[in-house]
Amino acid sequence: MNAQTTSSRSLAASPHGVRDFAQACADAVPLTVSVFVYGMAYGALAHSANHLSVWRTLSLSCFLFAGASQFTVLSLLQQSAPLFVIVSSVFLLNARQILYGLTLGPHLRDLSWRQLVPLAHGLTDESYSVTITAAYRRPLTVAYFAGAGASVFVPWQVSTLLGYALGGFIHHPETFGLDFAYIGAFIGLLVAQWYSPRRFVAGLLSLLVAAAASRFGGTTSAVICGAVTAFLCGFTAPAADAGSVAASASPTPKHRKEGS
Amino acid sequence: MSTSTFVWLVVLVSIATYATRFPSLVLSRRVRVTPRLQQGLQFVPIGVFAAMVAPSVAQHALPGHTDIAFLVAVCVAFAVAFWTKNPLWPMLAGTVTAALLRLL
Repeated sequence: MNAQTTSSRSLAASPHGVRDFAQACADAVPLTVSVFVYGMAYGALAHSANHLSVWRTLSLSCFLFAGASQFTVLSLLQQSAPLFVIVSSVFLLNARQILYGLTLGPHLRDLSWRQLVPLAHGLTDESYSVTITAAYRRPLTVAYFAGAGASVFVPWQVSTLLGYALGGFIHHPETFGLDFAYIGAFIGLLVAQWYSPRRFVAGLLSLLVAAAASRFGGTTSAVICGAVTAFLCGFTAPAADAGSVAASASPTPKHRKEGS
Repeated sequence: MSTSTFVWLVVLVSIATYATRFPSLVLSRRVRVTPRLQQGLQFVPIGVFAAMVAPSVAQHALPGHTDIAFLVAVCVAFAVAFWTKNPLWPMLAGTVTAALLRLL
């Protein structure tokens, strides 16, 4: 929504606004499809497994607007985790977006910080992939960045609502194996991250450490110890192995599923 | 969870997330992050996802609490995840596996 408001302002300012906005939407189509399916899964789970109201479900999609984080919130709510655990988990999970901002920022020097206030909300794995790819081809415009953000934001809201409606037909989640759905989703997200041997090792180590840590300090220590383990694996990796920012800039869809 | 607690939750997680989006976009004209730190940050999601998976799996594997349907679903989900490299299919395949095994 924010992204759209800004784009309409920039459309008036730039002669190529409409074209750039449409180009971004076209570039994002494959990602939009996967965002839509994933959003439906979120909406359905929030309704059937967490019994959240439609407003609570949608408010997370609208204001948090980060797929993996929203699944994490649902999962932690179910475990009755304390508020600070939920908030710090979400921050840790999204810390990678700091990187996205750092790599995209230099391409957006022409924009004022006021323009970036709403546009920043549209920064996701998907919109980053699309935008950074375009940035290597030609100068970035406000309209393009806004288009990339909107082509994730809008389907995410719509699919959340659609999934929520479908989730209403499911009354006993356990019989449908839905208590497993979160774990399944996170297994998928985890394995999608394993695109180098180093990342695979980091994943196995984190699994072991998190399992052990949860025996002593529950969810809190599992998240912190897991994140620290993975961070150290990346921090100590030789440069070629871990994937530099240049490597992360190439938008291979299977690498870009960790959030929305 | 009460409405006010939930509103606090939404406000705080949204601020925490926006804090990863906006400041870095604006400050990136001046600040440079070392490649080493970048690598570390890029690995963090692996650890968080692992922390979402491992404790629950360990719990379902404990003697006395063993849930075979759940554990088989975990194996199926890992296999499908390796095969498809897409987060959605393992969720669906694992969920269907757990449901079918419980129906038996």
